[in-house]
Amino acid sequence: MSSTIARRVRATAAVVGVALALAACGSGTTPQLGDGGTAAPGGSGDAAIVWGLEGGQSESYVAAVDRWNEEHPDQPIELQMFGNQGYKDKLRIALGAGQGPDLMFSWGGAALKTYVDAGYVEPIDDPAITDRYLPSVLDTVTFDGKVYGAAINNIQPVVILYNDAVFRQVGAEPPTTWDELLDLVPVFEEEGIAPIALAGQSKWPQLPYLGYLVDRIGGPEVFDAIVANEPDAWSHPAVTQALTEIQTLVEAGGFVDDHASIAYETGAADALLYTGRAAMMVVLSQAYSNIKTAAPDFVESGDLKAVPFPAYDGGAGDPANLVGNPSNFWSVNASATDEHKETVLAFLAEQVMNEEYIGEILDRSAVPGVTTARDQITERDDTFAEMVVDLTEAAPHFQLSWDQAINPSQAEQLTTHLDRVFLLQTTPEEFVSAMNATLDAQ
Amino acid sequence: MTTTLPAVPAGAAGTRGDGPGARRRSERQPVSAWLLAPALILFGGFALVPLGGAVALSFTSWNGLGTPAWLGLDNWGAVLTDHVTWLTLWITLQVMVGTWLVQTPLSLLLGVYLAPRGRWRAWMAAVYFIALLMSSSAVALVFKNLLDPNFGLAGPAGPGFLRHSWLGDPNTVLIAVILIIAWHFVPLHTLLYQAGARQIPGSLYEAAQLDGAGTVRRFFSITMPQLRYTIVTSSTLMLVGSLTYFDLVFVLTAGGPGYATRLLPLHMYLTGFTATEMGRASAIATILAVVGLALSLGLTRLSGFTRMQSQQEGL
Amino acid sequence: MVTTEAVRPATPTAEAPPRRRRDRIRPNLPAGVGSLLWLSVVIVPVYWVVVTSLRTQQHFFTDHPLGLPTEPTLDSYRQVIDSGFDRYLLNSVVVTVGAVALTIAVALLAAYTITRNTSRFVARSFSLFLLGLAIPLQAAIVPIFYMITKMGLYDTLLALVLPTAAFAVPITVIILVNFLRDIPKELFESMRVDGAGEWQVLTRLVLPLSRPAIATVAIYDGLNAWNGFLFPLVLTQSPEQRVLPLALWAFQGELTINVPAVMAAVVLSALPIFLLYVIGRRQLVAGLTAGFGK
Repeated sequence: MSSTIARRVRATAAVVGVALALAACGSGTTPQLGDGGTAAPGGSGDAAIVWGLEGGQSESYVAAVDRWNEEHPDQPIELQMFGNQGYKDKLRIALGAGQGPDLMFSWGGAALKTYVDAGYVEPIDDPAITDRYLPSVLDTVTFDGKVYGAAINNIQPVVILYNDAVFRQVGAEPPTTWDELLDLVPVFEEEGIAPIALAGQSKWPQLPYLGYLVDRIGGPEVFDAIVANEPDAWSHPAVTQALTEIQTLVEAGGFVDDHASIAYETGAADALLYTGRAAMMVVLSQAYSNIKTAAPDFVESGDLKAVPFPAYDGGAGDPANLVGNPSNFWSVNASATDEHKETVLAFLAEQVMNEEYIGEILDRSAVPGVTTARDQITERDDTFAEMVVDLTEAAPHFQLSWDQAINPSQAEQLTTHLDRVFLLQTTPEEFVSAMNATLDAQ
Repeated sequence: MTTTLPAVPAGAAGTRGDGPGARRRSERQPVSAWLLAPALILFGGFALVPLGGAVALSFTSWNGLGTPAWLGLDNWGAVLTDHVTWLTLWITLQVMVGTWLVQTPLSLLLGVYLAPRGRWRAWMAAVYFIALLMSSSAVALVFKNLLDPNFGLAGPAGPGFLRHSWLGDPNTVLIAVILIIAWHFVPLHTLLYQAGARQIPGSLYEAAQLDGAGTVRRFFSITMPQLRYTIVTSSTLMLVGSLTYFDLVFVLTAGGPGYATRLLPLHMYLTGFTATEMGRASAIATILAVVGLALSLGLTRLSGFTRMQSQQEGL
Repeated sequence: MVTTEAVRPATPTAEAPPRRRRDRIRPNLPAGVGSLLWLSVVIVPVYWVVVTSLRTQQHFFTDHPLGLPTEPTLDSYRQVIDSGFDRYLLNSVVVTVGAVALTIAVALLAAYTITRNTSRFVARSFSLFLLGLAIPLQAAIVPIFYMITKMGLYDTLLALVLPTAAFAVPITVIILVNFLRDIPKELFESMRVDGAGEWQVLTRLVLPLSRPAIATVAIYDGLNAWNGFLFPLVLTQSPEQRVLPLALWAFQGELTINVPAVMAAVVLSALPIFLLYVIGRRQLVAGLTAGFGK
């Protein structure tokens, strides 16, 4: 070999060697679980594994695990964090491979029920855990009278977040009915402000529109029939009307121009709102916490406000009904070892939703689904959290987000076809017949 | 071909009489066929057997948990009558052809341009190559943010001609995907053409120049024909690769908006892992494999991998 | 229109070398402009990546995308490295080196057999590899997942090495076969006459001669293995087994995304390859020349 090449090879070897050395050293360190970051690898051998989703209240998961590990070094817990996209797929794959976590993160509903039916989830019997929650919150994880999960974050109804500064600039009032919402569209458009920010590429932000409109127009019975897989359940006129209204809003220019390419995960939709480029956003209350983290000054100034989803004139549904996520949950894996089950159950009882935990959530203007929440919120004088509690307590019916309430196969069809409705690529009639077809498959 | 063989005069074609199909008088084979075993076992075990498995699974109903249940032809009926299947095939075909049409001329011209040696050219080649060094998911992430219609270059902050919701408009998203793929992979093919162009003996050009041929004429009469095999190789890699453009599109658009960028591999993943219909996904996978097979057959026949001829014969 | 300038032949032709013909380099304006255009097309996104990685999260939405950061910071890099980047890098290296080594070892043997053995079995095997060339790995992912799980290899790096290597076999074999064919029979026969056994022929003759081709396939397979995404997505789950492309994707899935951090991750993940490229550039081009240039 020529000397140049030999030199180069040696240099490369050196670089590679150094890299490997660093890597070897690095993997010896304990997991870094600070600032809501992903858990670093190098975890201990027999720790109980807990899966969590990034964002929202996830820092509290991290803090709770840290506290547990400090006080119980003999029963270690390893927290592994995931992003939203693809998490459900991953959980399914893992459970199918017999490699599921000891505590799994879920939204409850039909998706969790599939796992329960397949024998992957164990009920939680401990009243110390179950009694602290609001009953409506536990509804989503109660099947056949048994509770299959413990709520770990906040009640997240879908509300309209709006930028009050923008509203003042234009001299408008937040909408109380659907028609008022439609009327607001030209008002903002004239000013060059997008009426509504929408992260269309992620698809799930589009679901609340359908969920709420159907509920407002036809009442919760409509979706109940769909969940029960009654034949032609999608043909109920409320569905068609809701879809038509959605397309009316799209055609009127109600959504930010490029909504189809905005992914929620980039934070761009939130940014549109707090930079004043958009006036409103129909979104899970979680977004309030997200914006509080991303743009604390804006929230400090008091310009981020919220109103419930508007009422629908002439609709049969109660305008106080809510759509959203009652909470997210941790469920116990039935195939976990007895040791791990003991560990995680103790963890749930001791560290999740204790004083500190609840306090952290409240600090983010979020409302944990516990019975003591109301009092603590009144103490803190947090207007947003109070609104959420008020809405939740007053709601006759709290509908779980549609894509969690039906099985995954139907959910995939739902989000895809609804996306095409928003893109004006399909008609309400086509949507209905396509979704009815998914019912037949049951 | 350049090889570093001291004893053999450079440029000699070597004996080429015996391709694998040639019949020789039966004699003890110089090399034992057993040496093939590892390759066959690896490829067979982890590629062919699973493919067979996919075909088998396509006749079952399975959601990933528990065991598959026999279903017969139901999945196939559903998949073949689903207009989405044909739509994804069409989209895949468009991407295949589109990426070839964009990448080939670009890489060809760039490769030929970069062929002569020189510091400036070498430096440029190095920079061009950076696009290939990033992983596909990285490239997708970069462009997803770069083309953000509100905060990226496709927004008010960027140049006028870029103002558009490239990834959000079903009419433009496929073009955007094709161009991004091209951006990512052109460096590879540029290298191939660069190498190929360097092989062209200067004597050909000199002769042509003496005959009075202009630059354009020289390009089309000498460069292009001499690059024939490179074109074939590059196109093979391109077309073969285009069936597997999963990563980039998955991260960039996840198949949307609507169905606009739902390539066949994506459709398979979404059906199997998101909608948890593994049986149906396997049917789609089988279709994917069949398309791949047809492509292989077509390519090897066209390119004459089984024939061997030197381009430099007669020199 | 593009022109080619006189190309120095890689293979010396029959004429005497010394006559240094001065290349009539007419400044080729269209080609120059075109290449500069493409240069900017390549550089702008790369520049954007670097510049964004140095921004603070707060300023990401307010700064001009191509402007210099108003508050440059290395925080993102720190965050990425803290979150286990070194482990992901190591995993990627292990998987890439493992897969490439396995593929080449196996393929070289196969290619050698195919070029020297004319039996029907061998010929049929070669056709099998030709057919398998375009089979996409996505088609087999579900059964592979099933197999890997049953073999107890789920969530290990080995689960990534084996299928990656398997799918690289056809193209590697084909490239090596093309190359090995050109080794004149006389060389083999002369070694045989000297009494060399098969193994010696392999190590003393074939291996050294095929270095350029091996370099080529090593690079091509290596890039594919390094950037592999679907296998890690489906076959691994824990952070300990995560490889770089997957880590990048996992980063972007966070609800409160930190784009500058993601870009820092992109830079860090491309850096090793870039360094290798800078160091080994000549080898790369030489390898590709020899292996592909027919």
